[in-house]
Amino acid sequence: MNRKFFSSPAILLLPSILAIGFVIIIPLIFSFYTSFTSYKLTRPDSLFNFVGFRNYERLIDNAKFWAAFGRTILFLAVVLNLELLFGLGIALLINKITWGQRTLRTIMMFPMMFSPILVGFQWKYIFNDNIGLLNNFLYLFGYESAIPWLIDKYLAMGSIMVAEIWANTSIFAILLLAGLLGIPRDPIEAARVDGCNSWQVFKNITLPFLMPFIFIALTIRSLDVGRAYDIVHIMTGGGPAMRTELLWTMIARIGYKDANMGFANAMSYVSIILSIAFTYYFFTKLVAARRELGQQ
Amino acid sequence: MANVELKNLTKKYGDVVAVQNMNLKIPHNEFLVLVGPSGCGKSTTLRMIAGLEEITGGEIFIGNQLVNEKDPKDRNVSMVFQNYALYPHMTVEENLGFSLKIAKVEKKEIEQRVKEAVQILGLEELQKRKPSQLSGGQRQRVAMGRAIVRRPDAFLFDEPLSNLDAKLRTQMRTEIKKLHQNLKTTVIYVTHDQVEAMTLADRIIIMKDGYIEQIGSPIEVFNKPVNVFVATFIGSPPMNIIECDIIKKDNNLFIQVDKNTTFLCPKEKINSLENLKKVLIGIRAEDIVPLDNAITSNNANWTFEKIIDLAEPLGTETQLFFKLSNKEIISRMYNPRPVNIGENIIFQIAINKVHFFNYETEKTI
Repeated sequence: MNRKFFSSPAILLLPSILAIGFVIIIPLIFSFYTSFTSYKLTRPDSLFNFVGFRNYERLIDNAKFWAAFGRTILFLAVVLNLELLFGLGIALLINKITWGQRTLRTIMMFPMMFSPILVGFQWKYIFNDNIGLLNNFLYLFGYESAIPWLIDKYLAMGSIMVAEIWANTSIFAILLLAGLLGIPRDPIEAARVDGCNSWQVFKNITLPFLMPFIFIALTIRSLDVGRAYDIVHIMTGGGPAMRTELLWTMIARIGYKDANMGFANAMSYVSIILSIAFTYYFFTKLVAARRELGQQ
Repeated sequence: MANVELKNLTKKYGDVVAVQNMNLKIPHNEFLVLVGPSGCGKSTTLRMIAGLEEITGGEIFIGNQLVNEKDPKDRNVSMVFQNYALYPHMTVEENLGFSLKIAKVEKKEIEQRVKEAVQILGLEELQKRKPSQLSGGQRQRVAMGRAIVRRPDAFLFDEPLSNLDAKLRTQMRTEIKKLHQNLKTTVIYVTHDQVEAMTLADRIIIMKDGYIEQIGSPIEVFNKPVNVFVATFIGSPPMNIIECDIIKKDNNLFIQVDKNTTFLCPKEKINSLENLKKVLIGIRAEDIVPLDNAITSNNANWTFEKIIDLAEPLGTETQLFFKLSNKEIISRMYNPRPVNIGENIIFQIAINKVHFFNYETEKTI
């Protein structure tokens, strides 16, 4: 037993086991534990105040939480779909260009070079109802009543989506462009000789080849968008009247502002299910798409 | 079912000429092979006929219709690619029926035609498989099936056998030939392999640097090459080309191969060689025959003796290598006997089998 434990494979693996333990496993167990306590950040002694499933029970009855949950799903659905659509469009256009492709690819990546917080600030000032660029621009065209972009309950959500899409569409564009560049020329030419017009070539050949890349992009972005916090926090702070509250802005508010960490952690664990569900779904799709192409 | 005609067809990439003023009439049902070294413009020509490559100048007619401006899909030609170009996400069946589905042919009709193609090519067992589950030869068969089901005006083959191993290549070659005999359609076939060209073609076009060097039946281009390039390109091993001086002595014309070897110029060539100083002669390996198994001919033969540098027994024949005028010469010994390196052998050349080429222009005299 002893000899086995100190065998060389175990010793060689020890650093990584320790690293993973300290970085992931211990915090994971700790936070999971706190979700069963009434832990308040301001009262460290409450850490040992075990309450069983009470946090989770409160959660299930909490309409605001489920509203944020639903809003996050809506946010994910709209943002991912539009980013996919625009990203695909941009990738297809850039793929057609023969001159200046590299320059355009670089320019396309500019939005990714800014911190999401700065992107949030910038769009906040674009959408500001009094001094915002957008309303001023509309004013020039004779539209005189100021539109409350970040205050109206529907417009505010839409405005955040616009900012998010602006900042991250290029991730889709880049990944899909990589996919497009990797498509062999022969099947496309064969399809053209076989009688396909451009749309049919795209639908029947290009798109199936792109599917794995689309699902990789969707997986990455679903995790990214699912944890959206910064841009919302900066632009609306979850307002007006919590109408742009997403899961993580709500969790952060309850955890840090209300110092109600135990409850916040319980929310986090439920929220993670959402991310896992999206990732799992896209990943199965990815595997299926690859199998379809005979790549696995 | 159509003839194909090219008029002054030209393709340029910037300043680089890929195909120059090509004129060609391909009658219905002909098996035409475009052959040449890589970069000679043969594939470009084929791709222009398919519509995959834009034309710089000239005209292409398929079935007497000008197709210059037509998309590939409207030309009703089928193409078989070197890398098969199957659709990886479709089964064999779906690959075969794809073009018909796009053309909105009735389902029953599609099934019928796919079934026919499957039977012709022996793909019955593989219908439900994906291309990734097929071997190279099977993939090539599916690619051909995909071309057949469309019943096109012309088949275009772009080096279809290059990715197969030697044995499979020979087998598929025969199948393509049979297929053509059954289907009776115009075939334009591109290859760099002269054996494929010889065995398949009704007519061969030999291309070099964008120009047509010679057009003719396989036997024609083999027996009467118009220049040194065609002579050395067609036939395996390539024709021996030897640089010779022309010498006048005692009213006779001699061809001097090297110091020790001089031949009497054949009578019918005297007029054309008289005023030249140098000439290239070309002799195929099978026409340089060791004396002891020489085929007797009525012509006066050239005879000389050489030391053998190397002998390669191939079973049915042995290839003998020796030096003539500092050039390595290959001879074929039929009914071979063991040959020792360094052995002296007397060779005979039938004069009527010798090709004469102009030293400067390399054209046949």
